[in-house]
Amino acid sequence: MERKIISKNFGVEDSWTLPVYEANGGYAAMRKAFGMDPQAVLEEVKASKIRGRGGAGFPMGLKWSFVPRDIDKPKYLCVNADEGEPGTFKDRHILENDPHMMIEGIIICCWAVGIRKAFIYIRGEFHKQCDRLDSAVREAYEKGYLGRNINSDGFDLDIVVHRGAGAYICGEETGLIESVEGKRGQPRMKPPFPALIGVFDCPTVVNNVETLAALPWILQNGAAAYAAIGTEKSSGTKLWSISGHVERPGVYELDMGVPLRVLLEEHAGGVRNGKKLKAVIPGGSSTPVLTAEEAYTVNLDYESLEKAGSMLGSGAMIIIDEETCMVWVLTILEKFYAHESCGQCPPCREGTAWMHRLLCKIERGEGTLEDLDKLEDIANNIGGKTICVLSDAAAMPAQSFIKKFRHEFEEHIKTGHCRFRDNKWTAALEGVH
Amino acid sequence: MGSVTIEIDGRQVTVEEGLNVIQAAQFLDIQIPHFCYHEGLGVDGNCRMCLVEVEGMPKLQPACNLFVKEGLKVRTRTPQVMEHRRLVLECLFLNHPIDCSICDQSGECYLQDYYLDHGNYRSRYDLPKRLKRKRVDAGPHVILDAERCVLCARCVRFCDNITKTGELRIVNRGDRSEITLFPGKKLDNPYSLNTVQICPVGALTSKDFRFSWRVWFLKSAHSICTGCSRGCNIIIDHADNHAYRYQARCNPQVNGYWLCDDGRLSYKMINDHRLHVLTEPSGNSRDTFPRFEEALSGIGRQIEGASSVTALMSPDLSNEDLYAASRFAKEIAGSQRMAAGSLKPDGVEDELLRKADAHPNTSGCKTLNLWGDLKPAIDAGGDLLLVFGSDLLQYDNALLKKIRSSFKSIIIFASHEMKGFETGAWLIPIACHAEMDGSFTNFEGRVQKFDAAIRRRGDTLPLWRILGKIGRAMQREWGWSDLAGLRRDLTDEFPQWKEALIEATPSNKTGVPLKMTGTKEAGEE
Ligand SMILES: Cc1cc2nc3c(=O)[nH]c(=O)nc-3n(C[C@H](O)[C@H](O)[C@H](O)COP(=O)(O)O)c2cc1C
Ligand code: SF4
Ligand code: SF4
Ligand code: SF4
Ligand code: FES
Repeated sequence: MERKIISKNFGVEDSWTLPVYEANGGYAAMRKAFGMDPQAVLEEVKASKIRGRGGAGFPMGLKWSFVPRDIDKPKYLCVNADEGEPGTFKDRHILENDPHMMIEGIIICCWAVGIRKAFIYIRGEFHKQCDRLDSAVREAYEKGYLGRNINSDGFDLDIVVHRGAGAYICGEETGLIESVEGKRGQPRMKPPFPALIGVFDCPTVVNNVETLAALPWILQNGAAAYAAIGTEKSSGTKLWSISGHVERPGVYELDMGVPLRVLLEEHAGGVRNGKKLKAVIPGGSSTPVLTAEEAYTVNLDYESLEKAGSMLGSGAMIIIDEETCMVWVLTILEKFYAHESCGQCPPCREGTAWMHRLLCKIERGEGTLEDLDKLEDIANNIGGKTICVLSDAAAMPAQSFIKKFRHEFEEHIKTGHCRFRDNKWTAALEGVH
Repeated sequence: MGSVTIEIDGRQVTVEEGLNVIQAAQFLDIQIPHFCYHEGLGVDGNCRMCLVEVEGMPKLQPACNLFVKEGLKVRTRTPQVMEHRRLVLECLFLNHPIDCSICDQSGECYLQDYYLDHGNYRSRYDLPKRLKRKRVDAGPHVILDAERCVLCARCVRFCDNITKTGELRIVNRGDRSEITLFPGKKLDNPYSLNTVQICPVGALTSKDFRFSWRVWFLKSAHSICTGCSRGCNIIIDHADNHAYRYQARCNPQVNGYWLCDDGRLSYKMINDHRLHVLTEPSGNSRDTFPRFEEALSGIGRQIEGASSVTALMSPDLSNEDLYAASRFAKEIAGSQRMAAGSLKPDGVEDELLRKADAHPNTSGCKTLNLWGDLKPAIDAGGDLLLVFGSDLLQYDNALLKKIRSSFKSIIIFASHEMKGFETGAWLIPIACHAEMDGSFTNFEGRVQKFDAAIRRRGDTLPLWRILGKIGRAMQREWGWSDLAGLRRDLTDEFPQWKEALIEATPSNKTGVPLKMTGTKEAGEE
């Protein structure tokens, strides 16, 4: 069902300003948190069962609890506002419409974990969002919610807004950390995990914008109320990004566990132009594709999507109608991953590019069945063996597209052309620069 | 630190805490293939070649980042591991030029070796390869071929963390990633050739060694660099009685895994400007001599007839030669003045390895109580001057003139040509460190043995041997029949060296076994 927790101020006039946010009850949760022991705040977050909204779905409270309590090093929070996964555009709505909700979440997190400096790593292309974020941070400083002694109990907190420079991989938490340190954005090997060795080798929490934005509500209404929303293992609400061949693309806040059909048909108006659904990528471009049949029966929560062989990811649905060529879609996706692989690990560096080149060959009508086998074999082998999971992210679409729409690939190969697109070969798909 | 017992491929091994599984496996002679890990540079984890199966972990784990702990169970050759290695190699070869036939690394290339061990597949790649820059002039000593690079970042990490000069970087993403120099920068730090040694493939090659010899024809000997008083541990790679290069040999206490460029290139002195034949003061060399032995008797007579004798010694000589020379000077020549010293200007010193003292054995001279000032000994003049070592008289023309006028006769024992003494002195060729077993004592008093690499040419003999011959030509019971005997006498007098010279393992057993260093093991005999 529809329930507005994070998007409650979306659409309110000047919702991104401090006075409007406060008029709607903003920063009360922060005060409440300051009245609690940090450990109690952490326990509350744990009890809410909230899981990370950045894609991996890791329990937020558990992640915080890995950060050592007493350590004579500074601790940091990195807010992941890089939002690069194709299909995902929910964080930008929060940054644009309600940056203070996230900032309040940041303050709560930092109080609970004992952090005095937070970096917000924001996608470089988010110009408007960045301007709003900057002004919100400024307002919070002016109001004394950031800076020195913000709870009149000696608690200091600074926020640094750090703009990215256009690399998807800087959304991966350790790539983000390298980038914050001013280095080339490429993931680090784990262990050590950021909770122990993160920014400048200090304990670091990395959380997504949406995850943090949920904290004020959790603190205000209590963990139990939040945990009661959604399903057993997927608590709370979620901002769903829906795009592609859909009547009303956009961001919708619905409880975890709603049927995908409800989101697609009741909220987003169904497939565009009355066409039939062919497939849905349910959680951002890296999550395995669902056929129309699977999509119509699945619910939007971690367990259901996993059972259906896919993932909830960042909660970003890409709707694909019946007149779309799946070879073409996969070629576009693999071009993205070949372009964005940071290039450290041979299986990812070479494997993503190889998959893309094979797909271009098939797209051109020059592919062979052997190429298709090769493609599948590469996809089956590169995942799970690299520093970060970008290789998995590239492999999963390839695996699932070929598994579920093999006939389309075979038809391309056998007939040398595409039944959906007359310009069967698009030069723009070829080069990766 | 304590030790822990782990199991690798069903075999147990007890190793020190703090080691990773690549290191621990060496103790069982199990090689875990790897590109990016290097003991001297630490773990980076980018190459993914070292993945192994670990009990209780669903995914393969990088052995380089897996540290030993009690009860750890690892398997290194399961079908899953072998299949993964094949995949990594296939990926690395995708855009690789495979120009082994003209690549200097051929024969000591990780990619080649691992392909033969683990890959051995037919290429499935029939698409155009990515082209990158080849034959890039990277710096005074190094040529870069970006197509051959496997992007392990060893060279980058070396320049970032060891020399802290940071000339190299990997730029671009995905398969456009490429190793390169910063714009306007050259790889010209004094340690640049280490990048060539640690590069697992032929991406970085040495201008000096390029195209000179196939590594599988090289033979190797363990030796010590003579470039300065650090005494870095090296391997002399040689063929056809010619030295082709020095490679660093790991010794954590002395040089770690590295060499300086000057030292590394100082191998040339083994080949160049050598003295091979005995020459009499008239300038006649052995060709015109009736017999070598006869010449030695002539020298002996000259020594016997001398009314005063001065002996000068070079800190380039080995401990054994210095000892023999000093005893010869005292007991056979009865010299009045004796000093070991140097006229060579100081070299550059830095924090990494290089020492200002440009001699390998100044400490040896000091321990043997030979160190002194050469000038007063020269100024005093006399009848006969004995010079042990070729570098002594090379640095000062005025001094050279003075020597020629203040001594009636001069006998020089030298490994190299002696400018200014082509006539007017006996020139007796002696072996340099590459041609004999011996030892040097480095600046901190560490006695380090070295082994003979190449055969001696012409009349060349180790100094201690030729001195014995002269002694015998003078009808004296003097000298040693072997090095062991000399070392026994030497250490009876200087017992502080007993452990290093008599009891210690031979030179090829010092330091960490080569295979654990992740450095190349070209042409090991
Ligand atoms: C290639 C890659 C890209 C990612 N991009 C983002 C991103 O843009 N935003 C984000 O929040 N998380 C991203 N993640 C997930 C982060 O690594 C991390 O799990 C997340 O920021 C943790 O925050 P959460 O626990 O609040 O979800 C990415 C992960 C990978 C592997
Ligand atoms: S998996 Fe890909 S993106 Fe991730 S670190 Fe390795 S090369 Fe970079
Ligand atoms: S040049 Fe050699 S050492 Fe440097 S990254 Fe490439 S392969 Fe590694
Ligand atoms: S530092 Fe000295 S001993 Fe070491 S390689 Fe250089 S010259 Fe040789
Ligand atoms: S990943 Fe372990 S050696 Fe490269």
